[in-house]
Amino acid sequence: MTLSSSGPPLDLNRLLEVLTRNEVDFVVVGGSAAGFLGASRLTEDADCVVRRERANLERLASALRELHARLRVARMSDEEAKALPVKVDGMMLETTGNSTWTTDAGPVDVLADLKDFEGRSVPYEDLLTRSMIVRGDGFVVHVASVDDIIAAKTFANRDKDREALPELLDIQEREHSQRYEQYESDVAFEVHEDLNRDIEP
Amino acid sequence: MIRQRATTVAEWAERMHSAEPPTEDDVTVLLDGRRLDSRESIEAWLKEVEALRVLEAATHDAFQ
Repeated sequence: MTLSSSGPPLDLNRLLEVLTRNEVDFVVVGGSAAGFLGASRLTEDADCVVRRERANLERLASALRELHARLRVARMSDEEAKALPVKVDGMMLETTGNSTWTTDAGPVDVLADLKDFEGRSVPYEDLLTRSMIVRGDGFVVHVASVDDIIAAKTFANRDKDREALPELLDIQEREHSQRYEQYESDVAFEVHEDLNRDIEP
Repeated sequence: MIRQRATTVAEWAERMHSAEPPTEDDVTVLLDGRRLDSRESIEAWLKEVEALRVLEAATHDAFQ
């Protein structure tokens, strides 16, 4: 079930550059984050969980205005959506849980949080502590961990979420084994350093 | 078939060129659970937001 209204295709590099230049605190989640991790089942909208503090929502509003954001609404064309009298500001964003936008840099979904396996809210601050960093040209972006993405998709349990899970579980296994290998390597290095210290005269 | 993690935003952005468009069930949802899936629901919400802006401005002025 794809969206009938069309807008510009996703230009992820431009979108992330504009968000970071406007100093928006956000973590990329969902299908686009899965694309970063190596999944092949991708949807074009970039999902971002943002810090729900008013000043950050004002910075987000500024970035969305720069990208000429208009609401993305099912069965409404992009031209019709542009004609809606929507004034994007922090107050407006504060009333939304999840908001879906078409921008000049493609489709963007702004989320208040992710859900864990039991449906409990996982806010920006928690996602950030487990996130990974990826570098752009003069900026860095935080991407949610595969564990957080799997939990949210498991709880959402829509057809598209269930279809995405097998690949994500493969990625999770790879990420965990790489982390274990890194841990073993770090421990071996520390042991080597301790031995060297012990035998020094 | 999964790939390795992307190493830069540019590589990640390149991967996203093959992505599918968003689906119709991705709609704006307000904090109180209302789904903005029609022109009427959007117009009603915009009126509420405007009322909140007026209230906030009045509160701000009252404390000046």
